[in-house]
Amino acid sequence: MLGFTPVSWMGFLLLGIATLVHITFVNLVLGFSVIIPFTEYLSYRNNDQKLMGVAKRTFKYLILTDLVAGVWGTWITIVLAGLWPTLTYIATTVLFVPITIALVGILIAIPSIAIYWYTWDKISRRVHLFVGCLMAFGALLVPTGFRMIFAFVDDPVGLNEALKGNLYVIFTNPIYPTLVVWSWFGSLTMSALVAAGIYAWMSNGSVSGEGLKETSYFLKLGIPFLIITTTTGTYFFFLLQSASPYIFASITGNAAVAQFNFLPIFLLYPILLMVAGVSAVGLFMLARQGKLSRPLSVVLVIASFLTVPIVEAVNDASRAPYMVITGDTGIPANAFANSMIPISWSIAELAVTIAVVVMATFLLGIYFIYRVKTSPIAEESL
Amino acid sequence: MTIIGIYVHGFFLSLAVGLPYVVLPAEALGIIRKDKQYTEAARRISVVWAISFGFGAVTGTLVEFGLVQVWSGVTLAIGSFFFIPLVFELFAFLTEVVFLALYLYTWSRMKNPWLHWLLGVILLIGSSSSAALILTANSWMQTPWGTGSLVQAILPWSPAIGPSAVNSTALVTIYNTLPKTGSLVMASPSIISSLGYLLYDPYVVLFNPNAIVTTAHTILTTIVIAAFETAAIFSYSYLKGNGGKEPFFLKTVKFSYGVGCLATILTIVTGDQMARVVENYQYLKFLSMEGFRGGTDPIIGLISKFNPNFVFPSFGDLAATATKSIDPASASLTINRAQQIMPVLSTLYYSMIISGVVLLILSVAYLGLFSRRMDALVRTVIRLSTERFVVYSSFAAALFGIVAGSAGWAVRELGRQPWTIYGLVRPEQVITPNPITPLFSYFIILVEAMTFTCGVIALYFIPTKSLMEIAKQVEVVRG
Repeated sequence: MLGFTPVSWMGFLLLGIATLVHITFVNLVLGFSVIIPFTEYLSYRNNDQKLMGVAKRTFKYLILTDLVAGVWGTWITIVLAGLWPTLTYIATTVLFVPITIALVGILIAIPSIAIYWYTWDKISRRVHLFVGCLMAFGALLVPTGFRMIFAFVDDPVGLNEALKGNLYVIFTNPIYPTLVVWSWFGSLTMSALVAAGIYAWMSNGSVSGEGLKETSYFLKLGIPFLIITTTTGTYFFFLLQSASPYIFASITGNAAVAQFNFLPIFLLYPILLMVAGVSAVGLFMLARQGKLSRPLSVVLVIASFLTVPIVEAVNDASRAPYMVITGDTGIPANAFANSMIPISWSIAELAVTIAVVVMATFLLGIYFIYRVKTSPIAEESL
Repeated sequence: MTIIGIYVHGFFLSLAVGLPYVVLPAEALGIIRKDKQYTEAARRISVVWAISFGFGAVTGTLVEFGLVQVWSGVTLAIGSFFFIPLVFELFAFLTEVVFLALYLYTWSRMKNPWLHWLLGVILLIGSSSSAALILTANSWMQTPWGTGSLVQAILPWSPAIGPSAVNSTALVTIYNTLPKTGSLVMASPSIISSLGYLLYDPYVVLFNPNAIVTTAHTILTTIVIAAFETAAIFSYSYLKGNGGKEPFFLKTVKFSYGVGCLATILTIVTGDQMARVVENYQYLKFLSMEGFRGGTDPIIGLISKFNPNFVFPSFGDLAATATKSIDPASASLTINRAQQIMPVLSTLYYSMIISGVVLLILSVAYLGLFSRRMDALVRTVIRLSTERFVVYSSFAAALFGIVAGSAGWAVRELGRQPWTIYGLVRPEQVITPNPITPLFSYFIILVEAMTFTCGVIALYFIPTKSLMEIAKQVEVVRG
């Protein structure tokens, strides 16, 4: 099957599926972890209690998305270690420092999310805001560390030096800084625009102003973030041309270099960005007139929500059939795939099918929990 | 760093795995007897369960990264022997996460309360399966099931460890390569792939007798810890007095204490089975933990072999066989290390045994709640009614439960020294080649300590106040 062995095929798909769900939701966690303390700060500074309400309501989305992101993060680790053991070994050895940075970020972020929620209105504002800043700092550290893995497999700068003990040479990777900045602003954009769209939808065309403040507030954040994301994304795209020519060829449909053509999927990304931008500006202008549009809010949520999985899928899949890119070629995925146990095609196909079914069930379960949680009786019982 | 991380994780995990066995019977009793106090108890304890799970997940992330990053050579085992248990564990973990959230958010929302209880049962299956599969991976490190006579070739006194489902040539190559290269051998995909399959039957790991008894014994231990800790928390609230809620607290104490007593008796039975597996497959550990140098010992002989005159092989007898090993140095090292750690190991082992005996005595005394004769006996010995005795002794029971669990786990892990995978791989062969600085270690330990402290505070405060009381307090603060 396209030059894959059963293990590498299964590993590629399982890793891809888990990464897509994880990264999509972790972007929301990251964005909300920064936006919510910032909103709380603005509420104190402007003595705006309504804005505080916005921060609190939005926090519930953070908790739910964190649950999804966390579970699939665990999947990624097991899939990596189980199906790509040598790659995992190399990554954890060579990328010891950035993975530690990400780990520190997780260790700061998760407890501070819990402390932030349980101490809201129970401790002094300054201390609570400080916890919020810790939460934001921890969240930003996570992609700061983990994005090095993506930069490394796109362009393995410093591999040999790192294996000899020079663990910091990898930070000279030309892709890395742009990728980190792009990730930060990408998650902020996605979170702000998705939140704006959801609040606009929940206003249900209300003329009483309900949902208007939330929508306007998140659009004021989301539109500038979208501009920054688009700029850094464009810069990253051209950076790939020199740093990772194979990926550039894959996503631009250069059949002379790449074995697969991802241009049609890649084109969805700028289209979705444009749709998100236009719907965000349209919604913002309507909001200024005291109106909101449900159809526009749906378009905004869908476009904003899909940008991240689309661009991640393109970036990851465009490496195929390689796992690590070295210029205009790479190291085949098969070389890193687990060769230590027998796995037949039937087992591989069964595993992928089960994973897809389980993921669908999981997401349906989460949706059901969301419905239960947001219903009035649940609020009372909790 | 790793030891502290595992113990912190284990503390929360023991509650997350053990508490369903307290919550679900309480909920069932509440439904059957239409007793709201049992339902309320189940509901509050389920909050402890959720908090434990949350902190267990955070500390689990730390352990998981510690494993693949600091002990990076272990990926060799994850990719082969641990593969099946860990893949199954992913599904169990997923079941646990989804059903925990569903269970918590659907309290009082199901028309038929048994449906809610059923969600809890699925959750229990998820959490216990998750624990069982992780313990299966750990058990393989104790008795590498499926390696046949490979360990015997290195440690000649060892029996064959299960059927031979491995590529012996490849494993021997790795065994000879690891001391020279350390875990760096894993950095070469070509070397690893040139070895071919390491394991022909990936499912063999699931049938490890060590895994089966370890799972039963460990899950029962988590029930002991969880039940007695719950009893202690509610005893404290009962003694403190809480505006007329004392009958509720007392009822919860009696119930959870009872669950702890039942689990204690079963834990002792499975503990005996576990000791037999250790004696069979890790004989040196058996000698060290018993503080026994071999020969005859009427008590050990009677318990272990039903023969007080049984002659056990001594360290000297084993040392004589070490020359037959394909690696005599490692065989001798194993014997020497077993003798070195004997004082520590036997102290820990007997701490566990004594704690178990104390818990057994408390369990017998608990019968005083149901038997007048036993109540009279308790009153004569302690000068307290059984009811008061249960309240006061719940603190001791919680403490002894933790001591037994912690000491037992320490015996298990320390006892396989100097091996990471018994008879096959040593710690220095799987650790990362990168330097682990003291600053890094201190930082991780600090984070572990902070997480532990936050978790313990949350475990006490959140369940002992009703959530509505907390909400009211928030309103007061808001002013």
